[in-house]
Amino acid sequence: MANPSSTSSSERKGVKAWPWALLIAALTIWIVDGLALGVDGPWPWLMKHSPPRGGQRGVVMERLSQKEIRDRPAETRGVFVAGSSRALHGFDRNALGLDTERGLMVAQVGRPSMGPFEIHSATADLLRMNPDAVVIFASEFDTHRPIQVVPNRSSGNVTAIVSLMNDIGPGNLWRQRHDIYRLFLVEALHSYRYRDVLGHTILNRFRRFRVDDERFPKGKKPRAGSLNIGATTGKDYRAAQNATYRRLLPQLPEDSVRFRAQVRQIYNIRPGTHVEIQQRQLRRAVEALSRGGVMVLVVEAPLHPLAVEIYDTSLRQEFLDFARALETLPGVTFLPLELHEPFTAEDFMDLTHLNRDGAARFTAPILDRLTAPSADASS
Amino acid sequence: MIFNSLEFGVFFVLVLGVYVALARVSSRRPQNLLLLLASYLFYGAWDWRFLGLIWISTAVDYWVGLRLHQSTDAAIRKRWVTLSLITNLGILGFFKYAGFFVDSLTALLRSMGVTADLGTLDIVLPVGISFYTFQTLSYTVDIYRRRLEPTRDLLDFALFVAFFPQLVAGPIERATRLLPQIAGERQMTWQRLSDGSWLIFWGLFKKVVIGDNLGGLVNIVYAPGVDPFAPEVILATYAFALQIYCDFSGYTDIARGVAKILGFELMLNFNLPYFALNPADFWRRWHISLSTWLRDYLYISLGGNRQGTLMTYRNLALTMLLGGLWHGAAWTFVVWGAYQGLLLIVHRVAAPGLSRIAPSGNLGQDLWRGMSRIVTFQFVCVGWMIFRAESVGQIGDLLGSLAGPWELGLVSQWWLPFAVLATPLVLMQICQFATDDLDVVKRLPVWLRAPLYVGLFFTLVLMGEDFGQPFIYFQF
Repeated sequence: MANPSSTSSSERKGVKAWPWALLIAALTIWIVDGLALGVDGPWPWLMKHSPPRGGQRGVVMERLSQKEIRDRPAETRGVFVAGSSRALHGFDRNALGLDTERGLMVAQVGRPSMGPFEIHSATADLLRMNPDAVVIFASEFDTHRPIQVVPNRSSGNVTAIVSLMNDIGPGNLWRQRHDIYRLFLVEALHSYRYRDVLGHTILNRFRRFRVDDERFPKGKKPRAGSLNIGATTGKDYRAAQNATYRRLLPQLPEDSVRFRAQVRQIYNIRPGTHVEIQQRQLRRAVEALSRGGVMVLVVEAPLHPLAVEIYDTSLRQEFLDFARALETLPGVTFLPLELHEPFTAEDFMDLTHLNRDGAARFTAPILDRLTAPSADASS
Repeated sequence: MIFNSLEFGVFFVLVLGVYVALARVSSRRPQNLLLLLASYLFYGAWDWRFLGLIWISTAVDYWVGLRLHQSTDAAIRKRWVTLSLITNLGILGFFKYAGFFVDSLTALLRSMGVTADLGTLDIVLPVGISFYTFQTLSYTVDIYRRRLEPTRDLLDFALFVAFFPQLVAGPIERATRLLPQIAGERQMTWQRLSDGSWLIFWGLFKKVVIGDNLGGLVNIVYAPGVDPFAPEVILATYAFALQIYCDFSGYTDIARGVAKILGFELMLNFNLPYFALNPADFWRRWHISLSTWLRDYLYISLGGNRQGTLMTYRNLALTMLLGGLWHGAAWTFVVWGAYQGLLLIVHRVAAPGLSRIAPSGNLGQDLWRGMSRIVTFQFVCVGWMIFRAESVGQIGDLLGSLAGPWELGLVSQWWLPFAVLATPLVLMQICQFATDDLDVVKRLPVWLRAPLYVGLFFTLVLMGEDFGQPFIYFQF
């Protein structure tokens, strides 16, 4: 039988007694984690050989965008466009051919459902890339919807996490503590932040047992845990949501899962304690960028005319008041929807996303701002 | 709060910080008070209402211990120890087995054509009740047997019952081992920090990377109503053998590591069980704290092997049957216990014959021992199939599927993750076995240990299950 002794036979003293293997391993982990999964990590290779999808694609794109802006030619101005999928579609640089225009290098940092806290979390990473400007897509669609943060998709930023903890109050803090722990772990370890991306693209084939045989029932996949505050559920809520869905259905070109999900999203836009938290987070993001000497454009993103019917449009006024107040910060400009000709149903691909023509129309005045002489001066 | 949660990490770091600070300014008593409060917090985080059961066991056994020691009258002493047995086993019986017996009785009556509505007892099983009940029972029984003097310090005794590293899934410590450590001064050294950290880390790795991931395969094949091919059942059963080992020994390693950092030594609970030469050897290596408890407090109380061959077999069978039932209130555990008892009896019967036919010479003996280990492992795995089955009916279905068809099915896809996940454990165990040293990693030079830690760490972070799967033995 193997020796069951687990006590050390020779107790060392002084420096020799220190746990050197642990210390060396901890140092190595810190260095390897920072280098291997930093901005210069394997992201281009991943995008080429095993491209991630959905929210995870956004996480990888964020790293690629950061690298692009950091390594841009000296004469080119670097612009990050941050926000949810509405920013990705509304400012699609490939679709709009922006790289060739006006000496701007535009890079997108965003993913579906990226909210104010995640933008706030990303600011430290963005500032490290020394951009000239950051365009933030926002509207009441962002500030009035429930807070939902998936830790493995968010950036890690102690300042943002602590401010969120402060904002959400002790009750929420207790209930959501597990996700808060995970947010801190994201901050401490790139490998934890990117584990879902690396898992879906490469590593899961070595640890997951796939079932593609009708003899076995499909098991439930573990869902990404997320911090949730302000989401409404319940029978009445679902009934009202479904009624809206049925009312709008005939007016849309085709039914889709995406449409149903969007109705759900839009239905969640409403007043509540979460609004103040979202606004604070967005304000802190803008403040951080402003303090970093970066030009910030907060642009109000449009919604499909039908979508606006679903929620209380007076909420927009709350957002406008909030956004205009941001302009008191140095280098911050708010661009409301009135800057553009009104958007019609033809400008959208669905309830929340602009199509290519809509995006081109929406982008033009923003580009003007970014390349205006005053923008050069501010940078 | 479970060991494989970030919350436990935060909890332990905070407790350790205060514990170290107290060590610098004061004696062990404030440290013990801190550990007791932390233990109640740890347990209460799961369900604070069941702290009351721990307090009842603590109060009754503390008091009974003192009375047993004071009394010299055998009859009175018997009454006191009976009070302890009734209290502890009564609580355990009610919370763990009442629902099972009512359901079984209802089913039995129905099978006899009697319709009886005995109701359904929807009783929540308090986590760890089987572990701390056995631990505190050993205290009173040892005092009754005059093998132990009771403690007069209620704080120390309460900590003995509720010590958080081993409260919910063992090892089931004996008062003779743990109480002196609680009552005495303890050392906290860099060496202990290093050794304890490795135990925690390796335990977490086994649980989160190997156990939880292999559990995915087990859950697919052992789901009720599925119709797996024989190779799929075999692979899933091997996977469960590794899963349950990694899950439970992982828990024990973390418990021992946490205790070690705090200055305590908990007993070894697993000693390379899958290298056992025979069923008796397996039980000397698997869940050692339970098997020695059953030996000392049940098997020997029944008469052990002192009353002839047949009575020895009866005692073995009864001990394993009750050991099976200890694991859970279900017929599958009863069948598993009976199977383990049968294995022990058959081995006892066959052992003389086997030793006669065993080859002589070094090579022959090595081969014989190697074969014995492999064969024993197969029998253990049959036991795990029974243990894991959702019902007695499913045991029959699974055994039936071994009879045919022998198509590979999804094994052609599953072998790769199975091999990847099993490899670290197999390599580690082979190293431990070959060197006859469970602490082989601790004895590696720093330049080998550091990269090993780094590799295992990144594997843990990138491939571990993220959402804190509960330990299998929590349900017992």
